[in-house]
Amino acid sequence: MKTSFKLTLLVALFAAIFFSSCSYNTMVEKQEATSSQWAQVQNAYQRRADLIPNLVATVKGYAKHEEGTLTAVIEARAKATQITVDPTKLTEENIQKYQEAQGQLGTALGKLMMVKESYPDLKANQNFMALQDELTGTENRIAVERNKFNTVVQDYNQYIRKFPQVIWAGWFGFSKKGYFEADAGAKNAPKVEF
Amino acid sequence: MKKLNLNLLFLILALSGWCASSYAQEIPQPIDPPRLVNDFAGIFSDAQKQDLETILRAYNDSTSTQIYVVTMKDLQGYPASDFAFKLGEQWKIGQKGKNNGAVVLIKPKVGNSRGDLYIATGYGLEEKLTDARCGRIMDQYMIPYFRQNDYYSGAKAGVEVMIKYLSGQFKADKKKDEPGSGPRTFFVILLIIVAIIIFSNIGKNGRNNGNGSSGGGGGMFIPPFFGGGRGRSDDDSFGGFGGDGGFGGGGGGSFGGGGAGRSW
Repeated sequence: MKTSFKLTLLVALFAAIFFSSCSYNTMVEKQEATSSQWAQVQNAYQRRADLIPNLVATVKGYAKHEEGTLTAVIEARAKATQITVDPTKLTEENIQKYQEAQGQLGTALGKLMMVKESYPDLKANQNFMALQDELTGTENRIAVERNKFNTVVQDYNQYIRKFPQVIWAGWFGFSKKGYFEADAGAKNAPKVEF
Repeated sequence: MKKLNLNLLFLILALSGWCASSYAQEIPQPIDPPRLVNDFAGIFSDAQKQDLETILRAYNDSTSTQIYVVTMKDLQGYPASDFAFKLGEQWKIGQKGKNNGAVVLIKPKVGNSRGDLYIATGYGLEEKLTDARCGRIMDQYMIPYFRQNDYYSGAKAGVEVMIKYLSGQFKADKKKDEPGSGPRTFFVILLIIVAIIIFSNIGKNGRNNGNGSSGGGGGMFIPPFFGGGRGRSDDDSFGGFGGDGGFGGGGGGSFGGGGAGRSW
């Protein structure tokens, strides 16, 4: 009687460890997926930041009276590149902060791209046309990677909040991660007309 | 009746195993059997389609790079860019790991509506086919033809320049490394296991009670499986099963928003 109780206990313990280690591994995998997708998001934003000096230089040559717009872009870029988020700290506040800074840069860039309408020479410039394509492509990349990030985070969040993982997810430090939300900056992303 | 049910069961199994992802309504399914030219808008003649297909197929065979030419009458309200990315992602254009796929999306100009052209590049092609290059290819080689309603010449010129830019970046893998071989090996092993189980059961039944009808039941179980197996390798209708000379459709590539677009 006593031994069979012990045996049951032992089996239960093994089962608990077995199941929790199984979902533990899955949690780790899903968390890794969010981290690597976050890197992709940051890459896309970094790509945009890298384009800006070139773009500013090109526009400067044609649009001499747009000092204010150009300075706004440079300042917004400086601010946006300062904020990075550690992939282990993808909380809602951190992502929101990051998104805000990038959103300001997006708005400033949008204004800069409007400037071209008053400068036909700039519009016809080969270099500017190429940069325009790159910039549009970069905005597309940002949108795509953000979407993918949200999907991965949703998968992770759902998983750690489901039974039975919800019981031990907290013990191992698996916490809910934040999403990207459509913001004013994203809506005002440079609309490049052809 | 029983046979029919088993066939149905197998069909469901096959569908759930290989085509598990359900597609959104708006993006069309690739034509079947898979081809690189998907002319939904009907702007190419048969000969033109064949010619484009030959160019693209040859490039796919030698480099595994998949350039799809897709024409649509209507983009269902999507911007051309979104439509092209979604289509590329859902059709899994390009090879898994290499992401060497591209979509040339053409929405012809009809009446007062604008014509839209978009070249979407998979992750792996972004380096050589940069957005700016895509833009230039369209400006110089494609749009001038499209303005004169000569879609074939524009598409052909554009595709040829894309191939030129990409030359030397990718090489087709050896047959055994092709993405189709994984599932196929798995399928063959599955078949063998099933066959062993069935035959051992038949043997057992035969030995134990000599009941012919239960052996017959086992026999009935086999045809749908083998029939299914043959169908799969012959008609190449499943994505990622290429490698026998026929074109197997998308190979698992992914798109990250690269590319450029034009309207006219």
